[in-house]
Amino acid sequence: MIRRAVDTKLVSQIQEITPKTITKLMRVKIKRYDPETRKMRLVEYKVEVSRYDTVLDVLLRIIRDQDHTLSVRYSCRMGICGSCAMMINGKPRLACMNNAISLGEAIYIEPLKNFPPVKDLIVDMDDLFKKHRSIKPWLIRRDEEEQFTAKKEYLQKPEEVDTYRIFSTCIKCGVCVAACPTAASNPNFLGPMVLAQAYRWSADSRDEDAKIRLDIVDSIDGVFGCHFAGACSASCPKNADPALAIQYLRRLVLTYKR
Amino acid sequence: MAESTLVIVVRRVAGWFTPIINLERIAYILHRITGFYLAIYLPLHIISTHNSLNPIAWEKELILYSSLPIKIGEIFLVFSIFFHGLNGLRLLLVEYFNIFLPKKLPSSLYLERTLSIHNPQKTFLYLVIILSILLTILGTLYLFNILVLR
Repeated sequence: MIRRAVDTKLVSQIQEITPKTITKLMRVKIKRYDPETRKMRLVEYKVEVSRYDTVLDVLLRIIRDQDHTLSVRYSCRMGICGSCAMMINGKPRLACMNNAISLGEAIYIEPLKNFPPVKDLIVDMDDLFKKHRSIKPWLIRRDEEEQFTAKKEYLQKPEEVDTYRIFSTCIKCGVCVAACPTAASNPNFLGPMVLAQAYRWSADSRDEDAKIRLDIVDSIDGVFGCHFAGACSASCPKNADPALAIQYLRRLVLTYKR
Repeated sequence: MAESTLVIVVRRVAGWFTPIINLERIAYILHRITGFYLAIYLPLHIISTHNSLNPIAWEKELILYSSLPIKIGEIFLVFSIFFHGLNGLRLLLVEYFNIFLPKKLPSSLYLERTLSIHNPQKTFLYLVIILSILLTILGTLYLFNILVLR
């Protein structure tokens, strides 16, 4: 049952393509945000796409050959940095992890939902990272001095690592927040990524004061704002299952002895 | 220029509806639509039954209730009652009583598929949808006097 999720997704996408197809002329519609006029405009490009091109490859080809003013944020090109999240054909995805040719005749690209746009496809993620910092995403130890002058590692049993390992694969790309209906309707909602990380750190056996974190998430803008639409888990490119982490977090908040 | 309150409200409510990626999201949307429908229906029902004190107004209402749009509205009302109730029960059991929460998580870094939106939680959602549709059919038959309970 357990395998590398990312690899299987890519392989299945590529297998769907007819082997004879080498290149295809695709229409790429991009909803670009202009910071000067503060308006969106739809621009269409025609791009020759090869069978192994990702959406990010297509965007970079547009910048290189057709329109160098198009702004896109990216870094690793391999689904690790989480920079290139955007709405692709109506769904939040990573541009570097989606095969372009398997998306059909046309690709429709927009900036990531639920984030204020900065320019073209780039969105402002400051608020997300501010919320992330608010839940103290690090090990909290009772003896702070000992933590920074530790003489030995904090050891864990394998089963203790299992309690949070799948949630630690989160790359903070913001795809789950773009998919979340509660984040769309309540800007103060911490969001699936932040709540999942609150559980990831609270469940860690090396952490000694989960109470601080649980007090922050114990509100309608926190763990009780989630109404289980499951869209975060359905769209997560790493299958880190934020909805499951939120279910665990809610149980922890309700049962934690304070 | 600052957005008006109405534009903000409309934009936020529109956020419930897109993007539709999974069945749980459809259940989320339906839960809200049926909730609003019931919230609008209940005060209207109280006002309407109050009109029964006036025979002329009541007669007019009875004619209105026999029209096709109202009949369709009644069928959706039956669906709203069953779906909203059963889905609310599902959310309570899954989210607060954690009946399907795995006791142990897999010893793997990556999951092939997410656990929260697949079995057994998914099966429970299918059950809620099937039960809601079946009860709506039965309720509609009863409402239109096709099915008579003795």
